[in-house]
Amino acid sequence: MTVRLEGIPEKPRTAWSARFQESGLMWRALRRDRLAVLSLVIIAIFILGAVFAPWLAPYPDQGMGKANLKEKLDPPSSAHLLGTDDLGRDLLSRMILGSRPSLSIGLFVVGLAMLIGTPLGAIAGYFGGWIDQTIMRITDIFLSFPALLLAIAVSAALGASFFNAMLSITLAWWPWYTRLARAQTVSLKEQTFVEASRAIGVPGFTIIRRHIIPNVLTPALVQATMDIGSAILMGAALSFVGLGVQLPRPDWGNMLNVARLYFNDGPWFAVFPGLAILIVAMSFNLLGDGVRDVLDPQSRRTG
Amino acid sequence: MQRKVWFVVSAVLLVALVVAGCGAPAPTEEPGPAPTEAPAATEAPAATEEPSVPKVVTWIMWQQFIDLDPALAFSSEHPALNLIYENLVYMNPPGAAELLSPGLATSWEANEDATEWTFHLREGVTFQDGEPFNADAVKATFEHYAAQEGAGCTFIWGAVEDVEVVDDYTVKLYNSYPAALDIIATSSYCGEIISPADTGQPKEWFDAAQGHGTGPYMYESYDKGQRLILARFDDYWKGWEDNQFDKVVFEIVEDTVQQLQMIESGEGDILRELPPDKVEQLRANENLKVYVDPSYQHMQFLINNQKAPTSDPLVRQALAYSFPYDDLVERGEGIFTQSRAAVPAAMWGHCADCFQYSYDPVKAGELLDQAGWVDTDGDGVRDKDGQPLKLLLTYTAGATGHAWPTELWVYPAGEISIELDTQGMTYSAMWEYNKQDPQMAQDITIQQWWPTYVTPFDPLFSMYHCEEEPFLNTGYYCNPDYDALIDEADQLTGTDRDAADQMFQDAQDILTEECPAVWVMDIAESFAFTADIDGFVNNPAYPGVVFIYDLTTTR
Repeated sequence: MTVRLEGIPEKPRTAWSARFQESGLMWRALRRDRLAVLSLVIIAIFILGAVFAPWLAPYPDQGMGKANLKEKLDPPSSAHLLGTDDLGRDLLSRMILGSRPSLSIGLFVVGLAMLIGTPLGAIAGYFGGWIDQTIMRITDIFLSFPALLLAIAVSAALGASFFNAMLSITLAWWPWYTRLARAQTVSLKEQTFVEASRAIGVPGFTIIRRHIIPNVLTPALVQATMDIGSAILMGAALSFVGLGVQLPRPDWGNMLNVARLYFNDGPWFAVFPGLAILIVAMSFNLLGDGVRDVLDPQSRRTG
Repeated sequence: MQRKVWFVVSAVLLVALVVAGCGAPAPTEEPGPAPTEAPAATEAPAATEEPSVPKVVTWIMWQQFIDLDPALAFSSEHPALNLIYENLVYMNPPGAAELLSPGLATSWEANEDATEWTFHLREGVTFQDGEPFNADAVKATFEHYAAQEGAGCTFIWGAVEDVEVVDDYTVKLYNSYPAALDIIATSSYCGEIISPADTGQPKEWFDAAQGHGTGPYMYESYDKGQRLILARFDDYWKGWEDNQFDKVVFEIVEDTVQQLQMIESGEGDILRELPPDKVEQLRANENLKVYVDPSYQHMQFLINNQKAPTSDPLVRQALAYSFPYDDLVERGEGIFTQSRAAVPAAMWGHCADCFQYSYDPVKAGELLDQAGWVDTDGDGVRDKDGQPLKLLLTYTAGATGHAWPTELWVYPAGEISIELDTQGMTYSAMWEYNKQDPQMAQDITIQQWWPTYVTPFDPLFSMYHCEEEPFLNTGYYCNPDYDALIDEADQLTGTDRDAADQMFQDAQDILTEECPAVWVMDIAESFAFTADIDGFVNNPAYPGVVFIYDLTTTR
């Protein structure tokens, strides 16, 4: 016996498709924020640079670690636009190739943290009770450690490598998304459209998938955009202490670490990787601000 | 100048960077001569009211202390232990008129075939705990070493079968085979004579910075992993002068940049193992004295001889041909020279005629082809039976002498399609990892060696003889024929050094052929001292040791 209810559209994925329809509007709003657009352009340039790194780097072999001791710590010149490092390698090439791990760690960590954290938070918030308690106490355990310290401890335990660095940062990161998603879910589940779904007997997980997650996604995305910059910084910090990308493979963090020793002899060696981290992290933060202003009506600027 | 502009720009940017929260501690030192407070004190010698201000010397230690039991300590503890404890005999620096000089023994003699040794002991010496130094104390120390059953450094006394107390100040040692006990007694490790009240104490007791010797300095306080403080032993038998140091502080700082900052700012007084490309800069600093001297130290990559794929000698030889020796020597700026075979060039028993591997990627590639390692799937890494040629290399992160060779090797290895997966750790963590079951362990690890006492037997035995439980032979090489040869050579050392020399060289021929390691570089000893410290003489028989008692200061 089935009941055909009036007013329920044929296509049930309303919340999801609405999100996509909104994106056009979002873009139009975001375009008005000059800083955000500039940040977006900068980020796009860096990402393109990372994607095409082996073709863009003037000395790809040096970028990957081939020593060139004859030109050790040469200042910037026409042959080496950003100078050379302690092994005489072209700094520009090292930076371009080093952008791959540096950028991907940010995107990967935030992506994975969102993927793990958001559904868990939605489940915790929707079902409540012991499920909520269990999930949230686990997040409390993770949040009780300073994020960088936890990441360092985990990657020291797993062994120093790029992949382990990504995992360990993600481990320190996901609970924030769980908290965020849970808070949103708790308020969402009292709303009429969710109650209506429940009333007609839609199973809990379906409600979460169709109604909760699409609505939680907006704040999570805002948070993610803001977080990428911090994740890149944390990735660089791990590499800096020797727990990320292993030399001679380049990464902005490990380049900075080596450069410390040569700060008097070749300041460019420390400056450019540092500058790259600064610019990228700042761009993601500014973009995050812009996206939040557009997506999050509660914090939207007035006037 | 261009450099100055760079400096200003970069300083500003670095500050911005730190503000951005990168977490990188920015180098804070100013270029050029640092503003100094220390030398001002030298202007006022009248102010030496001795009892009020103890003279403190700060050693910037490159590594934490692992074992403090003199029987087990076999790493970087000797700079401290050699100050607390004393040997019966000391080896003189090269160029001295005599090979040996008396320590706690004033004279010694052996029978003709070097199986019985009599040591006459110094009278009027007391240990730091008040125990008298005599023949019984020497016997107790030997019993402490014998109880370790060859662990740690105690293998050096392997020949000694019995210790006889002839009278209070005469002790006689009986060997099971000929051995040059006078030379062995000079050892930087396990040469120490321990108070009879402490012998037999467990490892944990010593590791809490306890124990008494007859030496000039004794334990004052210890914060494991951070610092060790030694204070002078007032009743030291050589007596004290005003211009000697009252306290020695070992400040453990593993980071090279921080070490340099400390020595350049005057926060520390002694630094060892200077980064080669910083030696000139330190020499130019008028507040410092820099010493670069020959040494018996060398650095090698020990290859896992038990586990595939490096259990195949062809793969090991290929690795030896893939290392860019010339780049390393160039980067070493006179501190590094390429090694030949397994004994450093300055040591007797060095094999000048042995084959020396060179960087030859073509040859390395051929050897790998011959061993069946070919890149069949075109991913840039050779493979065999579906396994890629991917090797895990462990090294000590932070130590330039370890990180540089490692960093330089990865790319050339990649060019012949070997993927070197490098893993930097602290030395103690690395050693623990290396001591596991060879089948589970790393493929390549780094081992920097300096002599226990001056004999080629030491590196040849410690790093290459068969070990049931891995200890220092972390390449897990085992060849009974080789073991027999070096054991025989060691026994000949006391009686026929030339024959022993030749046999040690023959043993190295075996090693060179089987290639259990990549012999990378001999390392010159390098030290920086604050300029107000005098009296340092580098003694390569005691690498890394500064006999603080011999130093004088104008402070």
